[in-house]
Amino acid sequence: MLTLTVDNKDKLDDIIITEDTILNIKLDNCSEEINIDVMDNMCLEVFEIDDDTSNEINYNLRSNAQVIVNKLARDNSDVTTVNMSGENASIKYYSNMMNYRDNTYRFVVNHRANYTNSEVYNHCVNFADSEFKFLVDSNIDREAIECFSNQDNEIIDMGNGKNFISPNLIVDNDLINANHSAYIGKFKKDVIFYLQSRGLTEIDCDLLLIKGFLLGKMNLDEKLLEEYTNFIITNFK
Amino acid sequence: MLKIENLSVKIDDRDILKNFEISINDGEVHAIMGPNGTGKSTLSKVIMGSRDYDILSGKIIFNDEDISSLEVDERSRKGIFLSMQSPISIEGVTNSEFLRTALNARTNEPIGLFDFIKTMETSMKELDMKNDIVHKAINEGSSGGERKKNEVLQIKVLKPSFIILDEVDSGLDVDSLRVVCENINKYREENPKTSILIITHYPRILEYIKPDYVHMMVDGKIVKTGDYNFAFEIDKSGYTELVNE
Repeated sequence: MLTLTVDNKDKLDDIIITEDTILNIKLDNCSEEINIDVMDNMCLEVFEIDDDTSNEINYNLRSNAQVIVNKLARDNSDVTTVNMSGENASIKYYSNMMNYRDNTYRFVVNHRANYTNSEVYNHCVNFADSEFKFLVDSNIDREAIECFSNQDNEIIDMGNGKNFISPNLIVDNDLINANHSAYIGKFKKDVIFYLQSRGLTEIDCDLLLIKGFLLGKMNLDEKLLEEYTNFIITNFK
Repeated sequence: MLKIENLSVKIDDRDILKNFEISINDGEVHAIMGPNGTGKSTLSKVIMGSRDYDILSGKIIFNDEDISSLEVDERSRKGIFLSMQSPISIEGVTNSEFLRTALNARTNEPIGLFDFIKTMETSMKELDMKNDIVHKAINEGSSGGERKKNEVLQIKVLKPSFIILDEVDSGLDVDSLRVVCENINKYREENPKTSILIITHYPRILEYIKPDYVHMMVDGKIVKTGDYNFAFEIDKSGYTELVNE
């Protein structure tokens, strides 16, 4: 398995995945265009930590390509586009945000080939009174049959933010399976009561729930879990 | 240990507890039985500090300190534990991380990983629980019985001095009820000053954890008190007949 690391210290070239790869992306305070082309039958796992970015990230998945993206970010206004151009391509995309300023995160997945599979999980904790938007489009072309597309979008509001989710399924085909969901709200009162009844302070509860919400779905090994957790703790205000 | 004086509580415009009084000494086991909707679970949540209710009057004294104005977590760290009727599941938060955080919240020095794992393993074995539960999210995908065992696991790890068991017997099969009760009795033997308040509809649990006092609660207050045998009298006669006596 090849391991690549990408950061914005140098000029970013297009990335072509020609063997099974782990890609570590660390970007801060930048606005770049990144193109990632995953060739036939290749597996790619991405571990991405971004701080204050508004990048344009484009994935192209060819036949039987399999991609998992584990993204954690603070103040993110990226535009991510995933083109499923080859048959049987699949992607699991976990985007997890900590938000303090006005931001819009846009995600587009285009199913352009048969039997393609996308699972998109967008989670954000909005800490401030700022505005946060998830604009998520899943497009399934008329020619792409027997596709599966799932979107799960959630924003937890810790302050009095203005939050907005637009979870769109644009489907031009009957032979597909598609789901979408959107939730905006606070952590549930009975959950807070349960944790506090075991002696956890309000701050302990918030941190535990935020970590669970942002990292719970991703499959991180011990080292990465520590790195992602440290990012949350550092940015938890 | 715990003394409740003249406690009146309402939710929305409904009075739930009406001048409720009870006194529980160190090491005593009390049981409260009563019909549905009489305020038993409200009592347990109010002792724990839930802000869902309006306290109209009264005091809750714990170890000679008025804890009425304390927050939920402060009451917990003083030694009160509420084993909930329907323990919830919490996505993404593992039992291990949750319990370590809870343990560290009540000690000055963080517990070492080795000591923590050892405590957990011993307790889980005694409760006949699978080891992998520590890495799973709290109660996620767990049966009713597993959730109740998880509550007792938390008791064994956090070591409270006053335990409220709110319908711990509901949703438990006979074997699980025996395991749960044996573990609570073992905990009492190891911590003899621990007091327990059992809230139940059925006397079966009281055959395992024998109470010193059984109270019958109707319409927000205790109307009759007896010894262990009173639970079986309630079971035989029913609340209505005993109230009308």
